[in-house]
Amino acid sequence: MFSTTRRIPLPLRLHGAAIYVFLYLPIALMIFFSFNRSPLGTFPITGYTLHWYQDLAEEDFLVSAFWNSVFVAAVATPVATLIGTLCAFGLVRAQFRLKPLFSSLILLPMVVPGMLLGAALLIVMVPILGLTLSIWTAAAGHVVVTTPYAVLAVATRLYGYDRRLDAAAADLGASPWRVLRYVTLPLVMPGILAAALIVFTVSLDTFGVTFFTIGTQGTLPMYIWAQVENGVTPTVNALGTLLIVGSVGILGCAHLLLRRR
Amino acid sequence: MSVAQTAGYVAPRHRSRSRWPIYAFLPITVMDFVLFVLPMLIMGIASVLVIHEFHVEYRLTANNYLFFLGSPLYLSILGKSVLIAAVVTLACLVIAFPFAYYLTLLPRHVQRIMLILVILPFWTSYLLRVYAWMTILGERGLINRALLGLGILDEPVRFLLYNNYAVVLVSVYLYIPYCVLALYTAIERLDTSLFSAAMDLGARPRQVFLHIMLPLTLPGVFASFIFVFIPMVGEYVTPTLVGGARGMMIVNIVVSQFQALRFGIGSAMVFVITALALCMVLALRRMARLEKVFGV
Amino acid sequence: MTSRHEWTRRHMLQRAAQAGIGGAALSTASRFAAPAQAATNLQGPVNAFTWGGRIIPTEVADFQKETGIKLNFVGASGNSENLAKVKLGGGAQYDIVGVDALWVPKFYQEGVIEVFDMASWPQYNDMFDQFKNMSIWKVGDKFMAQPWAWSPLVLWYNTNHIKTPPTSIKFLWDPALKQRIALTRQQEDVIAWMGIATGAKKPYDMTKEELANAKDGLKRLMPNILKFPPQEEELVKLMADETIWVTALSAGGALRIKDAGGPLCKGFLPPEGYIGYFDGDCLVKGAAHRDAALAWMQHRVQAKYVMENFLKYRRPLAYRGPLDVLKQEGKSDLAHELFYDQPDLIAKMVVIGPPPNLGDYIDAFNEVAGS
Repeated sequence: MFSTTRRIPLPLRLHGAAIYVFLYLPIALMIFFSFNRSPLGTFPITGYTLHWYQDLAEEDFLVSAFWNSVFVAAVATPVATLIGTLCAFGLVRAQFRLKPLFSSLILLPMVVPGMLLGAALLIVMVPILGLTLSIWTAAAGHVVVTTPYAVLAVATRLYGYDRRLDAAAADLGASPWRVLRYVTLPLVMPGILAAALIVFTVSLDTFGVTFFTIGTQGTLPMYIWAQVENGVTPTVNALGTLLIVGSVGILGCAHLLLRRR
Repeated sequence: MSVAQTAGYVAPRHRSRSRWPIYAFLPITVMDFVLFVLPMLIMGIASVLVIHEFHVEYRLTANNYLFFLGSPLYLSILGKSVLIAAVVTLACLVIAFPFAYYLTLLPRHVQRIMLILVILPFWTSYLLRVYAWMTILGERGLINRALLGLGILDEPVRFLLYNNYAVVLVSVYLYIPYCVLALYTAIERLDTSLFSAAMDLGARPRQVFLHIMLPLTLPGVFASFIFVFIPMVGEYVTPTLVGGARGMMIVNIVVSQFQALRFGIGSAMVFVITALALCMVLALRRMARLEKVFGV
Repeated sequence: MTSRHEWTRRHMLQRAAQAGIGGAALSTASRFAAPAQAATNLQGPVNAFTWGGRIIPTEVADFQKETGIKLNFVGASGNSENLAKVKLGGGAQYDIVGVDALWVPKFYQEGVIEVFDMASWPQYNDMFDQFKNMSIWKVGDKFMAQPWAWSPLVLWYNTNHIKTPPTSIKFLWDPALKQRIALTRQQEDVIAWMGIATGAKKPYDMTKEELANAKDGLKRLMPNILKFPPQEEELVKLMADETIWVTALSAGGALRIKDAGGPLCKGFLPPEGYIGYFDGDCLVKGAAHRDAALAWMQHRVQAKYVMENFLKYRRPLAYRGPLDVLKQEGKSDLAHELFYDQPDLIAKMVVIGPPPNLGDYIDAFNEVAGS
């Protein structure tokens, strides 16, 4: 089992193949049903149609939900990435007594059940901060949930960072700002980009927090939730298929970015 | 370059380093204070007040906590949630471990593509993936159709969906990519020459696994607990959709308290669950070496 | 088959439009007053926090075309969650909230909605007397809610598997129905059904003993219950693929199941009693876009939209228009099957509402379903 050569034992390869089947079976079915004529979005197979993709274009609430999601993620991503990057620098480069407690607290918003954090946020945002719930309050909620992911992603990169590079630049007369700008940041950039991608992904799919902090413009998971509750139509499968296709594109880009490491 | 000159340049660097914490932690501290600590604090306050629907009496009480912590039923549902989360986490670990090891054996550029393929399902909606499982496991779903078609079954089986097993299966599906990532990162950093050395010295594969591989990859295992176990205790959607009539987990109970307009009791439950999560993160953080998790 | 359905639908809409024009002539020019006025000086958007089945895309698009006002729609979940959200968000957040039956007075007591005058609105005269005189929804002549749909919750059963028509609600406990029943998740409604079955006087206001009996009933029923899905449509689907054989759904349930490719189902109103609902849209107190919201409420009760909504969801509405069209079309049977011609049922149903001891209901549910 523990081979040191490149020959991979057959059981491991079979297990690997089985995992990919497990991961992709539901997605294959979803794509399949998006082309199936039956209005149930499930079996039986009644014929091939593009009807559900046409429906998709006509669903105004769905299209606006999609753009709302992108908007929230687009607002949350730079903010969470910036806050998370700063925090990661601090965590990696500073030593202080309460660091274990502090870093655990920072991770907490990531693991507290979203429905519960959302309810708590609602109570602070509306009566105490006097805000009107909107796409912006949802974005704020997303920033809270996603920042820990950004911290982790950037910290990962920073831990592997050779600080002697900074020292060398400083020795050669670079100001701290120039060291940061021309040495540290370019080297840490893949970590920051990975953080942004992770934040964007998590934001797109955040449900519990959105449920409570969104105003009258729902996001995509909210729309899909309403659909799942009302019985999913093949239109939702069509949407899921488009999401996968788009994801492959974006992940392709991510792959190229991560490869620069 | 003289020592003095070097020192002259080192000084500002030291100053800049010492300033890092203040600037770096300010945004996250402000944000987490306003949008995390404050909400939790308010829940904490609400949890010790007498609240009847929308009317708050400013009188201290422990009843909200007693209602939850004194109820064998709700404690047993919390216990059940923890049990389901533990089963899911263990299943994820058992399935993901050999898989993550397999990934590390592949050529480097293939590893990346295979890993991305593991993450890809993340990019469709979580809800859609849960729903897709309903079309696989249902009475008229893929599995039943296949088994009926092959003549293995005469009648569709019904135990595939709407029970705790379905919750476990679907949750393993939803969370396993996190687990693969965490374990892959841990295994990838291992020095494989250790295995061959141990084998040369006569160790059996089982011994190599138990005494070398597992201890060295424990951070990945603990990281999996943070990414799988804790969120799984707080699952809401999966038990609602595939859990069946008795599928409730603890967050479903908390939500039902808010539906009953019992804000005090609901807040107490949120507070207890958050405190539990904090304890678990604190306990696991050091062992998990979390900073290594996303080293994809 | 689809095309025939389309034809019928278009045809019916035409009939409805004709009927609407007739109605307008009778009720003077007031019918057109609202949209005309709306076009001039209304501030939007209208934020409607209501159930999915209340809004059809065409009426939203037309409203925006006619008045330039956008309608934002947020899906509501349960009455109590909606109450909490509206209480927190208030008029700054929401202009309209959809509320069920006896929850309406509760919302009013909590001070989150305000009354309005409906007498001059289109279709007011077309509304069933039961709604015109709905005293629990009225303060003087003003209304707390604009009535919309109503229906008894019918127990629908699959005739392939249940051959003898049930005569009592007790049939739910038949061991042959193991895992073949699903009910919507709203806990207090499930407990109220159990109250009806165990002879409680007021199923939404049970005494301790009655509640204990209801709980016991649910405990004995649990082996037969497959799931408590969040919403009605999932019940339709489960009935359609015969995963379950019995459920409680609004009028027209059998038609919806059939449309989803399901088997022939029949409905049954238990002699012991049955739950029913009527719902409406309420005006949130201090709504930021109050006038626009009122314009929207008037816009959507025009005959053609009422008809379209009816055709889409096929449960009785508070307005007589679709009923008249059905009768003119010689479809009195269909009207009867949908209970549309029996508004007197409204007084007989056990109406959905907030139990004074809501927490006890939810505990009872949790104690059975959670154990």
